[in-house]
Amino acid sequence: MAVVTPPDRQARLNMITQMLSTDSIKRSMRLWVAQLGTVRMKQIFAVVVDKVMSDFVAWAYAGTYNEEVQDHLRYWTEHVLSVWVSVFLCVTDQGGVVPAPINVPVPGKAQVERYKNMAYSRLWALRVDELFDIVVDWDDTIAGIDDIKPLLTTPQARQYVSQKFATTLQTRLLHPGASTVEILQIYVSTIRAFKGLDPRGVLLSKVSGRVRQYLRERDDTIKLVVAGLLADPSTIAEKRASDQNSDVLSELAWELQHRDLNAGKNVNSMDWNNMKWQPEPIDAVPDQAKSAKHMDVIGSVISLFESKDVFVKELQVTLAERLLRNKEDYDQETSVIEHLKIRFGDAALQACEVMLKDVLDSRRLDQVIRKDQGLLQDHGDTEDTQEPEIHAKILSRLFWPSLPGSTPAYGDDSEEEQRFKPPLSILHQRDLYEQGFENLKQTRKLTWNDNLGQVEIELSFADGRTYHDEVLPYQAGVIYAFNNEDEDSTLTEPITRTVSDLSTELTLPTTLVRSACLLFVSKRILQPSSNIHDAFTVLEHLPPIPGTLTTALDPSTNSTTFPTHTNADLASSAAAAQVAADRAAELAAQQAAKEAEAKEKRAKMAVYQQFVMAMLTNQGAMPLPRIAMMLGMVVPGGFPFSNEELREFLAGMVRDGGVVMLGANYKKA
Amino acid sequence: MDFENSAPNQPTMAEQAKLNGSASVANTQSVTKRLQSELMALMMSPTPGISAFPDADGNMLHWIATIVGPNDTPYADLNLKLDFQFPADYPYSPPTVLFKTPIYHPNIDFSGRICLDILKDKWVASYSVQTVLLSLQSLLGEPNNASPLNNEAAILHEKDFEEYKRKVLARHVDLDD
Repeated sequence: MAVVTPPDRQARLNMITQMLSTDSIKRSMRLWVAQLGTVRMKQIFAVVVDKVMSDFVAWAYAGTYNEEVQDHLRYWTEHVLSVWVSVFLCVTDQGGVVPAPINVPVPGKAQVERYKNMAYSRLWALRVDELFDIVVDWDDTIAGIDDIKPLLTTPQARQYVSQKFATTLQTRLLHPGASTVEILQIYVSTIRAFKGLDPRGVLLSKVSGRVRQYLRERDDTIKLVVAGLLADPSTIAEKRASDQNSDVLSELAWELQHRDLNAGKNVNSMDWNNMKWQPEPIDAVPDQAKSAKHMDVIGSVISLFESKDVFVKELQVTLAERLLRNKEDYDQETSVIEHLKIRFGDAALQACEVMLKDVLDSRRLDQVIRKDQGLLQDHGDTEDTQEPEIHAKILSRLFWPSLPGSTPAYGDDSEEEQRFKPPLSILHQRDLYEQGFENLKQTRKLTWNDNLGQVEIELSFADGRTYHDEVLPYQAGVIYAFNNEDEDSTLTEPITRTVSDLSTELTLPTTLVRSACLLFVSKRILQPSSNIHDAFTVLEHLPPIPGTLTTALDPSTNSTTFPTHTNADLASSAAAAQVAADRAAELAAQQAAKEAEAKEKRAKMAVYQQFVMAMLTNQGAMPLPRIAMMLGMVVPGGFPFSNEELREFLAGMVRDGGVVMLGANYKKA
Repeated sequence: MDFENSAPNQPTMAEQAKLNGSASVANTQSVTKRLQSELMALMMSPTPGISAFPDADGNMLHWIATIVGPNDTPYADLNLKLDFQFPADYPYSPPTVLFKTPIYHPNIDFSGRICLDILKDKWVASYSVQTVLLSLQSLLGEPNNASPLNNEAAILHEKDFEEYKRKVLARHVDLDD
C-alpha cells in the first residue's frame, strides 16, 4: 500500500461535486432534505459515515500487516473521508443544492483529528479481533502489533484484549484437534507477540495461563520441548521458507542460542538507584514480578513442568539416544548443554555432562584399546576379510538413563530372552576389547549391551550385487546367520533358515527375527522360502523379471500366472510389492516395539506389586480406589494406570495367591 | 559426636530465626525426597520378614512397618506392627519408632518404646528404615539384657526361657484381626 502524495484538495472537490451533479442525485438530495429536515439528515449521515469507516478499515486492512497501514489510514481520513463529509454537510446546509467546489468550507483541524481517532480505533478493533491470526503468522505480522499498541492505554482496553484473546485461544487452539507442536508453536509466538505488545508481561500472564495448563495435560509436550531444544537451529530458515508445519520446534533451539539472558531479568523494585522505575500496570496481578519471567520463551516453556527434574530426565533420555548414534561430532549437543547450564546451573545437568564426556572419551579410549589389542586394521585391505571391526562407546552406567535392553535394576527372569547373542566372531573381538579396557582401567569392568549400537553391513551376492547399509545389531545378527562360509557360493544352494531356528540361535524373540527378515525382504536381500513355512532364503540372484517379486509377499500368487504382463505392468507390480514389503517390515517392527513395551510395562508392574504388597501388609485390607490413590501418592513419577487397569492387575495378584478379596477390600493372603 | 549427625552448614541462631519460614519448607521437601527414595529402595529389593509403607493419609513423614518374627525365636511368625515418625531434619536425627503390637521383650516397654542404641545416640545419617527394621528384627532374637526396659522379661529370658516364651505369646495380639 503505497502512500500517495495528497492531490490537490480542489481537484478532489471538483471530482466529488461532479459526481453529485447528475440530475437524479440532485433531485433526490433536495427531496430528502426537504422531507427530513437538516438535523435528521445529519443524524442519518453520521450513521452512514460510521458504517463506512468500519467497512473501509475491514476491507482495506484485514489480513494486511505493514508499517504503512497507519499512514494510509491517516491519508484516507484526512484527504478522502473528511472531504466527503464536508461536501455533504455543505449540501445539507444548503437545502440539497450541490455547492460549487470553491464554496465548500475547509474542515477544522480538531474535526479531522477526531475523524482520525475514530478511524484508528476501528483499526484497533479489527486488529484485536485478528490478534490470534497475527500470532499464528507471527513474524510476518509484526506490524499488526504496532497497530494495537498505541491504543492499549486504558485498563478497559487491556482487559478487552486479554479476554478476547483468551476466548479465541480456547475455541481455536485448545481442543483435541490441535497437535501439541502446533500449540507449543503458537504459545511461543504468543510470548513473542505479547512481548511487543506489553513489555511488562502483564497481558501475557493473563492469556498464557490456560495454554500452559492445557500443555501440561498433554503427554508429549515434554518430549517435543526437549526435541526442539536439541534441534538444529539452522533448519529454521528452511522451515519458514517451505512454510509447513514440521514436527520439530526448532524455534526453541534458536531461542536458546540467541537469547540474551539479562533481558529476561526483572527490574528489581528494591533497586533504589533505578531512576527508570515505574509502578506495575494497574491491572497487574499482585505477584507480577514472578510472572514477568514468562516473557522469556525458553524459561516459560521449561517452567511448564512442575520440576526441573522431569525436564532433565527427559533431556537425558533424548540426549542418550542422540549420543549413541554414529555421528561425526557432538558439537550441537555440547552447545545445547552449555546453554542450558547457564540457565539451570551445573549441578542439574551434571549427568548430561558426564554422558557427553563418556562419548567423547570413548572415542579416544577406543583408539588406544584397538591399538593395544592389535585390533587396528588398515581400512585398505579389510575388504575381503570376514572379520568385522568393532568400536565401542563406554558409558558410565550410573549417569545414563536406563537404556532399552540394558540390565534392569530390579531382577526379573523374563528379561533373559531380551539378550541377544551376537555371532562368535564378534564375541571373540569383544573379549579382546574387554581385556584391553581392563588393562587400561584396572578397577573397572566392561559390561556389553548388545542391543544398542549400529552395524555397518556389506553384503555381496552370487550375481555380483553388493549391498551396504547401517542396521541395528539384531538385524545384523539375523543377516549374519545367512552368511555363506563357502567361497564358491555360486555353486551351493542359497541358504534358507527358519524363523524359529534363528530365534533360538540368536536368543531373540521370533517377532524381532521376523521383522528383521522382512526388512531385508524389502531390500531384496531375502525372500520368503517357497516350500518351508516361516522361513527365508537369500536372494542370491535377482529375479529376471521384477514381477516375480510378488511371490515374496503373497505365496498364493504365482507370477507365472501372468505371462502376458507388459513391462510397465511388471514394473508397477514390482513397485507395489516393494511398498507392501516395506509396510510388512514396518508392521513387524511395530509389533516388536509393542512387545518390548509390554515387557517393560510388566517389569514396572513387578515393582507396583511390591508397592501393593507393602501397602496391604502395613495398612491392612483396602478397597480399590484407596489403593489407586495411595499408589498415585507414593509411586515416584505418579501411577500411570487407570482404575480398570489396576483392577485387572490386582485380579492377577489374587490369582497368584498373594492377595485375597474380602468383599470390596483387597487383603494380603 | 559424629559429623554425620549434624546437618551441614548449620546456620547461626540469628540466621535460623530469620530463615525459619522458608527453610522449614525446603527441609520438608528434602526429607520427603529422601523418604521417597528409601521407599523405592525397599520396593526394589524387598527383604523377607520386613516391610514398611507410608501411612494411610499419605503423609510421608509417618510410616507403618511390619516385622515378622524370626523363625528360631519365641516371636516366630508373629506379625509385629511398628510406627515410624520422621523428624523434620531426618536423616540427621533418628526417627521415633514405637511398637504398635503389644510385645513382651526385655528392651521394649509396655507402651512399645524401644531401647536401641542406633535409634538414640548411635544414629548415623546413612541408616535407613531398612537398617532400623533389620536391627529390630535381630533384637527380637538377641535382646540386650544388660540394659532392660522390662526387667522381668530380661530375668525370665536368662533364667526361665519356657516361661518367657509363654509370656511372649500371651502378650501378643494380632492387630490385623
